Amino acid sequence: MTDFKPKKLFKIPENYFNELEDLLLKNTQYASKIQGFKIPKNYFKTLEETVLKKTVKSSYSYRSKLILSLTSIAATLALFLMLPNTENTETLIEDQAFNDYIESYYLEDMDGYEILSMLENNETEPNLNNSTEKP
Amino acid sequence: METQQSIFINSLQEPETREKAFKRLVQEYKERLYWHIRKLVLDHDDANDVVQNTFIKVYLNINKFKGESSLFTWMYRIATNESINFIKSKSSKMGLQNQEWIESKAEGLQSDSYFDGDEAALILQKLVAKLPEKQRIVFNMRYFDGMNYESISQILETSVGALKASYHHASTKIKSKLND
Repeated sequence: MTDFKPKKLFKIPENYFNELEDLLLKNTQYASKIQGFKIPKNYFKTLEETVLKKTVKSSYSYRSKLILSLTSIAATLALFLMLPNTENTETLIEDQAFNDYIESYYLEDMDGYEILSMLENNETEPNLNNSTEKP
Repeated sequence: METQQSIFINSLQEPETREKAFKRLVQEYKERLYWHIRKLVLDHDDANDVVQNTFIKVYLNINKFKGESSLFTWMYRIATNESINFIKSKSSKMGLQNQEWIESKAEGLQSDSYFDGDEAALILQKLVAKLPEKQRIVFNMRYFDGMNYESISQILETSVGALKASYHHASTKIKSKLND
């Protein structure tokens, strides 16, 4: 009987007493509700749901803001690089279209007087002066 | 060897495990943080706003947590700062000093639907509200929560000696008012 060792008869999980201490402390330490203060029914369940919704939302909104900012920067750069070319191309296309229109349709139905009447005096004068100049 | 806390912090910082770990964190700390904040702001709706902001800050800043203090201490510090900032913001909007705003909240407890304390509890809350901010925080953490000075020191980043002095002044004031 002198060799009786209860420790060998009954086993406990490894670190049991450390974990028990943590568990007991966790449930009592600093979780005090003070006298008189109440909360709505099921408040902590609702709180958990609200917090999780908001945090996921805030992380998504942060990510989407980041993506949006990067996209905006990329789009601005692309526009900046493309703008001069676009402007030239557009000007050329517009000029060409105008010339085609004048040549193809507008002038066809007009005689010389009508064309002269549409020009400003100062536009016609040099030509007239030139035409009166003696060679 | 990694401790339980560092494993948990790693899972909070890893994007793949973050949301699951954060859910566990909220389950673990929601009540403790709520009651800590509630004692500081007194009103349930205000405490609800502050506790939500606290968890959002924890979530957004978890990668900045370096493990220099315990997770619990770090979260309590955020909750305390959020409560102080909330009080500052509310009182400045109303053109009041922080202490005046808290005193008005304590005066309003009687008609608060989420307060059913007896007269002694009400008087105690009114007296605590009259304390300067630092003393009020220390008194709440020490008297109501039973926190040790070392933990309070880590949370408030104040020396134990200064905390003992604050608590002594606070409790002396309250005792003398109760005796009047």
